[in-house]
Amino acid sequence: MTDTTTVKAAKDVVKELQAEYYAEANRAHEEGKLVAWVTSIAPREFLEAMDIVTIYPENHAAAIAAKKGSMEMLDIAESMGYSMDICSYARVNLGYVEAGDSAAGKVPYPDLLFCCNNICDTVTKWYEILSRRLNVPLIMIDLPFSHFDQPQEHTIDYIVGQFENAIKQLEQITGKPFNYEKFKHCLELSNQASTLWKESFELGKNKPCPFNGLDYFNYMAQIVCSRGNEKAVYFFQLLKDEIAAKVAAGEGYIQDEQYRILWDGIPFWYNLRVMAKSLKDRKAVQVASTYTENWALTYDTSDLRSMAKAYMGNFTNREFEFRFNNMCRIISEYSCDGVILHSNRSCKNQDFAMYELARQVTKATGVPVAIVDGDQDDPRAFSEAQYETRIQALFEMIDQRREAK
Amino acid sequence: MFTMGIDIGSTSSKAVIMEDGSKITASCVIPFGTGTSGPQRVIEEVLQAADMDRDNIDYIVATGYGRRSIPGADEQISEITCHARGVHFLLPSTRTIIDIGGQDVKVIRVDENGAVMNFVMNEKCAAGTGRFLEVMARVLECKVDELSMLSNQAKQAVPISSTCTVFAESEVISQLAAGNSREDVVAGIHDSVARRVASLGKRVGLIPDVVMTGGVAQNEGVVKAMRQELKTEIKTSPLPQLTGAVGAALLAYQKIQKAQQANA
Amino acid sequence: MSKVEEILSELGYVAHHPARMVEQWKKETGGKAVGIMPIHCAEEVVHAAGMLPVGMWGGQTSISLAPEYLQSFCCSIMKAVMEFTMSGAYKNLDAIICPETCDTLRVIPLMMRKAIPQTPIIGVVLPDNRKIDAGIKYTAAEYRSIAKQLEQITGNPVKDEDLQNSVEIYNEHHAAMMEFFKVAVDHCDIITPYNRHMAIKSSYFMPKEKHTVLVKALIDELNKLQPTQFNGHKVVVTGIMSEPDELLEMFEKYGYAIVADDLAQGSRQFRTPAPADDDPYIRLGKRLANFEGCSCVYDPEKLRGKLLKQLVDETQADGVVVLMMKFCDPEEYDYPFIKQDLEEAGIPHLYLEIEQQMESSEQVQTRLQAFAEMLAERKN
Repeated sequence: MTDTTTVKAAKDVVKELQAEYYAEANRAHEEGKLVAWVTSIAPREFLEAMDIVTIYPENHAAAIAAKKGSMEMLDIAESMGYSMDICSYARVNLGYVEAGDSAAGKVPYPDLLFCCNNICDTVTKWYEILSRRLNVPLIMIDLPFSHFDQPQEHTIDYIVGQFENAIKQLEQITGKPFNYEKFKHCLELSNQASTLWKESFELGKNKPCPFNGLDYFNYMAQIVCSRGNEKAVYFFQLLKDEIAAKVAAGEGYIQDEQYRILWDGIPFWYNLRVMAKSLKDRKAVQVASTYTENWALTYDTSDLRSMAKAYMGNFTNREFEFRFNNMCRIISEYSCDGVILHSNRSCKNQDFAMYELARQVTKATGVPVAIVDGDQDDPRAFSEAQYETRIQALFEMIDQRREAK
Repeated sequence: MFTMGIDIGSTSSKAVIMEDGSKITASCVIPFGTGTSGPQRVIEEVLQAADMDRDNIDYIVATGYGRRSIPGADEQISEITCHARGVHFLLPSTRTIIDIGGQDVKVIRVDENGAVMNFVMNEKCAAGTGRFLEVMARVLECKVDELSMLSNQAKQAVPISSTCTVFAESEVISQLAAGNSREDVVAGIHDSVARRVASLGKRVGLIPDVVMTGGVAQNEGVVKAMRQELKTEIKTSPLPQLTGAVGAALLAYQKIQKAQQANA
Repeated sequence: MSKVEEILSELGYVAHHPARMVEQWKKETGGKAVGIMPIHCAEEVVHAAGMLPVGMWGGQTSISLAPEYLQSFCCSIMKAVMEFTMSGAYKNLDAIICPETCDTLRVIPLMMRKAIPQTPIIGVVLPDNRKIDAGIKYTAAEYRSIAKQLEQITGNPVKDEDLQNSVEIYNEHHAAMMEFFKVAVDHCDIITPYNRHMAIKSSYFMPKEKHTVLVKALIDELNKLQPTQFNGHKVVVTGIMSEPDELLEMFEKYGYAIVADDLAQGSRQFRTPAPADDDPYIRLGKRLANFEGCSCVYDPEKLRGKLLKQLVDETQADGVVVLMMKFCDPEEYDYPFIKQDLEEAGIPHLYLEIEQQMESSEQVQTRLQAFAEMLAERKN
């Protein structure tokens, strides 16, 4: 059994690592390094291989909202003519570009942009704007949406062609030859981190759940920002060990947990308190989220085609059957009592399949589903009163179902 | 030469008679708008006030929401053009006009002659308008014209973040239930309006002198909040309810002048 | 009725009776019809398969069924499409092809499959990196994949030479449309905003070669007339589409003529020809590679503002009207740079928020009127 008094808690370690990460990033230009702004599920290994520092505007925007600073940025973007209807991550970031500072501190401006649209098409529009506004080159990795269970060969051909093109662009921008050695090594480290990440959250299947699923929204920073280097491997080993120790000791986040919940979507970054409280007060634990699975990116590191396929596979890039089957599987494997779907004003890619998904999932599994309206970064689109009402209704449905059995 | 400007809104009708496009002879406001007897009455009453007949008026321009259904009007011109002209006439240093009406918000940039250079209006949303404040006043169990006084007594504005009027209503209720004073909540509401309007205004640029008009401009609390939000001096238009009608009467005079020049 | 009026009347009829046109064509030819969702999807493959491509751009309808699937913040075009899907309005379509235009169109076909499972919904995903060699080859491969899927419906393979022929027919059609737009500038009294739109809209509901005949006849007739001097407000419109009809009537009412467009439903479809190549699928790939200036096609240089300035210069327009389709993300992202470019060039513009289902025209009227008054003042 791990002696947890001598090993730091993952919660603290991730804070330190993130602080280090931002500090390093803010020194990057001084140290003659290039900085790239990158989308959250981009193949950052290409950049890590060239010693380019990566910053994640989505991550920064989330942190700004968590520190209650998103309104300031939203105002700036909207005054420029950006509609309130577009993604709030984009608006907050575009506001930050003008402001240069934020409630969550500064990030260095980019020398290049690295955009991967597997998560949505919004990022393409957002990064186009950044490219023109900041006058920096944009490397676009287009991972086409998949209508099929398996991606088609010609799609993989296209992606590999883009990988090769991206390498050329990086060589042009850096003036250095692409470091294939380091790239290979990064892919190995990436896979290791992804595997450990996955193994850690799969421990949520245990009863009682050994962790608070909401914490994964913090841990996530490392799989996004450091996947491909040693730090992520170190952290997720530590995290996995910590959780495994709890499982071995039969420890749960809430020892006498009453409800096991699946949360789907991005949290309300400006009001994490209400999310946490609405569950904790009822002895409910978030045991899983569809979100975390997106970064369980494992593939054959000697085969770019295998890597292409893996990066295409996150659920917002997939047909309905995948989303549905995936959700049902999670409900079953993690023994979920209820599901909360966030109808996120900023995320149409998820939202417009949501009502049907909720219906189908309830029909197939019998598990009640609640849909809550809100937004990831824009507090104006969220009503605490409305949220509370919907959550209460969900738990009443779960109770009713139990009594009926 | 006498011209008349008529401004028919959704909740009130206004009329102004001007002489030679430079002096206001008479004016009248009736608290009934389009679709009621208001438009008809306001014309009758302004003529009475000026001790004139319809025949004494050389040209009538109608503006406002109900401008298209005024029999007897020689022409109808949009309220953007009319308000711009009217405010500029009353305050010649005006270069940006912020008009917060019952149902919409307009920000208008004007040149040194009061001609419209650019304008922007609110999107399909009541937030930031007089309607928003009416709903809030109801929740706070006060009159709309008491809002200003209340916010003046605020110790610290309670942030009201929802832009959706419906959401904001429940947010206000929650804040009151949490023990916040009415005064502090009203201050927060005013900040919310100011923020919404400022964001819109920045799209066209706010060049001084910035002048507020429209019903909501009479709410000192909102004006104060706008000053803080924009970090600039804001004037309020004299005769804020009549600016549309004044502008219409002026434009009517311009039309006659042009016609005369053409005929000469 | 003059010949011009006759042709315009026919185009207007076609534009307003899509279902009838499809029915008629199917009866006459015994062929199958394929719906084409917006914005960029090569119809040529459908044409080469001997099927009728039918544009699906939503329409006027109250929205009562669609909310079962879609939140209120979905764009009005797609809400209308979903509504029509669920009400059975598309029952005459034997298949529907849906390009992955934006986040909303990523998901709409998934929902259509649930609502009308008996109709094949074919997804096509065109590349962002459309200019690199791998991108051109990918576009070609995607269209080959469509051809294969259409084969399964018709039972006949799509031959390369048939596709070459279809590409030529479409090239000719597109050239005719661009010529018409040019000629129309000298006849703004006849080619009003409404009539101009009828010429565009009708192209979506009939075989392209037939539409070409009508458009060329219209051009010929117009060329017989003296060019008219238009004294109103000449504007370039930009956006997804210029609908509904009431909007176009308002344009006319306040003295506007549309002298050029940068509309997804309009010139974005027609302004880029398919270059020559032995492989007809590669021709489609090359055309996409050469295409610029659409909110839904990857553009890191944000060229739309430049393009609009060019159109304004060419037509000596007085200003630009930005027809902002509410809740259209790609268009909303593009606006601030368009605004900046137009302001720097000293070109006045109006930002007009529209929805396909226009319940209250008051807001639109006020803005159009105010902008017209502003333009009039500038002329003085």
